Amino acid sequence: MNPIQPEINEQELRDAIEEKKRIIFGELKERIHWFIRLRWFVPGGIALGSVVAVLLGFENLAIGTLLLTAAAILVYNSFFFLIGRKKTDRGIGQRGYIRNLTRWQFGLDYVAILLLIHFTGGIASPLVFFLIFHIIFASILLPSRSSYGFATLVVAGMAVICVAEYGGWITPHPLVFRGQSLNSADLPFHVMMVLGFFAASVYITAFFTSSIMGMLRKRISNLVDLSEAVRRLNEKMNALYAVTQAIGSVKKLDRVLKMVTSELCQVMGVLGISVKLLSADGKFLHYAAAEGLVADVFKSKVVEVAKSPLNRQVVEGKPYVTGRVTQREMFQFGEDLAAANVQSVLFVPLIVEEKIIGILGAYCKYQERFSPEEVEFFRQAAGLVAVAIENARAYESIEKLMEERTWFMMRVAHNLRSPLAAVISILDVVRGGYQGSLNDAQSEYLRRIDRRVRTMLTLIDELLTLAKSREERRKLTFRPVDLSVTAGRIQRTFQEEAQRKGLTFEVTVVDALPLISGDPDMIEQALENLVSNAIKYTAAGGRVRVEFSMGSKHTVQIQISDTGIGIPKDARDKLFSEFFRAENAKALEEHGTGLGLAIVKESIRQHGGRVIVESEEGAGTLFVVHLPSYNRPLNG
Amino acid sequence: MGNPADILIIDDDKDIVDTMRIILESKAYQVRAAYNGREGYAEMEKKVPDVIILDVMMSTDTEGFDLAYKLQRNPDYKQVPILMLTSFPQKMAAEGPEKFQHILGEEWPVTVFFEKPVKPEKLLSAIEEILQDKKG
Repeated sequence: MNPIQPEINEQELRDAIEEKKRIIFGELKERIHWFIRLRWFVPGGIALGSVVAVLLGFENLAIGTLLLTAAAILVYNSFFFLIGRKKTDRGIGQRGYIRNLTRWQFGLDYVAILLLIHFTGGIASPLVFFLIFHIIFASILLPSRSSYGFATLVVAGMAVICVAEYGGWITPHPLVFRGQSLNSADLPFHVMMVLGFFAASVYITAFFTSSIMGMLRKRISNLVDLSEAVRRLNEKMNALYAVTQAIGSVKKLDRVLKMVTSELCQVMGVLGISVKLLSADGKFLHYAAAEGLVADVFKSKVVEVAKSPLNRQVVEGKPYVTGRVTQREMFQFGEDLAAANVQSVLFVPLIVEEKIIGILGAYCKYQERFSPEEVEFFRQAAGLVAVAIENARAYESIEKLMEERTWFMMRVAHNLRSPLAAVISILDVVRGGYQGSLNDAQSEYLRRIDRRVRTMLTLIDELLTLAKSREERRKLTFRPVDLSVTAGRIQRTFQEEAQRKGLTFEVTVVDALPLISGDPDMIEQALENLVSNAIKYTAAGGRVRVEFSMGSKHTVQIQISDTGIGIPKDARDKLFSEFFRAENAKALEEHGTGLGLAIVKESIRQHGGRVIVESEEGAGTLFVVHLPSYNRPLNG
Repeated sequence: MGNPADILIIDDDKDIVDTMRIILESKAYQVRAAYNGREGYAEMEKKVPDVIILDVMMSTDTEGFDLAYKLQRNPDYKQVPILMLTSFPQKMAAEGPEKFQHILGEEWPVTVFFEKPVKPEKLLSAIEEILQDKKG
């Protein structure tokens, strides 16, 4: 429908041939320059030959004419040399130039050599053999037709010389050696024999040489084809490799598709590459990527599978389809494709686990383009693209899940904190005396309520922190912490509860306890969890002791010991996991989150410390916490 | 204060509203309350308050933000300072999903942002400061 397109196609073919010719002519040019370099020796050779001939005793030599010919050769070779140098970079248009240069060289060479032959005895001249070399060169450098042409010229030239000398139209210059001369004019039969065999030799040489050259030229062109094919294959392998890389490294679907399509577009040398994804019901195809095409036009379009026969064939399981845009009934958006200058398309399915998830399409500006090799390559690429898509989709769904989880946790945090915030606000109003003044005891108890509620608030935050720190270690702002202050607070917080349970409760701190580096609230939270457990799981009459002391090597050691129910052996491994509670603990206390020790472990770990447990069921438990001291040496 | 300032509290938590009312009225502020964004907007239309105390999560996650942005787009209400409160831990908000950071990153329609619970003294001094700035 568009008459210009096939011409472009032909043009491309011509370009390919032109390229091959360019390479072959490049070779020829090299040889012609070599020929010119070789010719520099000829004038010297003639001069030397003349001198040697005279010294050997040849008489009657036309030395002047011979030297004049040598000078002429020198002149025209200089001329060719200059032209050759000046026009080395003429590019593709050099074909004619090379041919003409060659023809002129051979022409002038023939004239020169025929002159030399004439002046050195005509058909009897030993220089006749040099003509054979020229035929070989001509056959190498020129097409076989030209080499036969030159062979004919040579034979004709020789015949003319013989006839003219015999007929006396030109003066023969027979070689005379010590009085003996060989005048070919005296031996017409011999001349005819020599001329006949000379002609046969010349033609046979031309035939053999040009046949061999033909084969060589074909070989060169095959090699060029082969190296081109290897280069293309290499490009394709690289493209596939890039796709494989994208699968591994790029997580966002959009970016994966962008990378993959642009890579394929380049390596296939096509106008565009598209990725269409099939909807869940299999009825629609959405453009997920449209490289090289007008993305806005295509991305907004939705292909209805039922309305697009080409796409339908792929969705229904054809391994590939090709189509021309002129077959407008095969396309739903044929007009858009034509507007984008697309002439033909290739569609292959994107398959993951035997399920078609979409279509990979290539769009070409030529009508006939997709060779079986290209189709095969495209299908292999489609396999990788499908995996890349699945991979990116899986990653995105995980990301979405993570985001939903974070939102869920935030909402949990909000809902847990809201009632506490209200309780604290009410406490603030009462404790602040807004509703009348309180006596000392009331104030003290409300203060304790406030403290516990605030501890709970912190606990909620810490819980979330714990959950988050599993994903990404939280950045803590560490500062020096005086554990004796913490000890005092623990004493006050738990004294009353222990008393009420009938326990002995002691908190001791050695003198000059070093500071530790950390988050005081977090440390306190961890220790509170341990002390609270000790009190909870120790029966009346028991003892809970908290001792702050120096540990070995720049650490502070905190021991929390009780005479409580102890921890069963089989429970010790799981003791610090979230939501784990030992059987004997559950029996004693129905409610409990099972989070306390998990938080302890995580908090201590984040402070670069460790926590050890020793216990005997029924006899008691000892938790030992080691925390690095604040001013410890860096290598300590 | 000769001319007591008018404060509008918008929060779906009645306990919070009541306690704040007690604290603010102790300093002779006029306090009005609304229990969701729509009621809050209706109160605004009745009379423009001097300060708004606004909760973030009410019936929706971002009802407070939505109202704040809505007020900011209205030239009549744009100048009213907003003290925003939330039980939403700010730590989480800062590290939270992009959606939330996007909200926090937009032109900030809020004068002061507090995490609940707020100490009475902190609340009162914040209100005082806002009113001082408004006058100055």
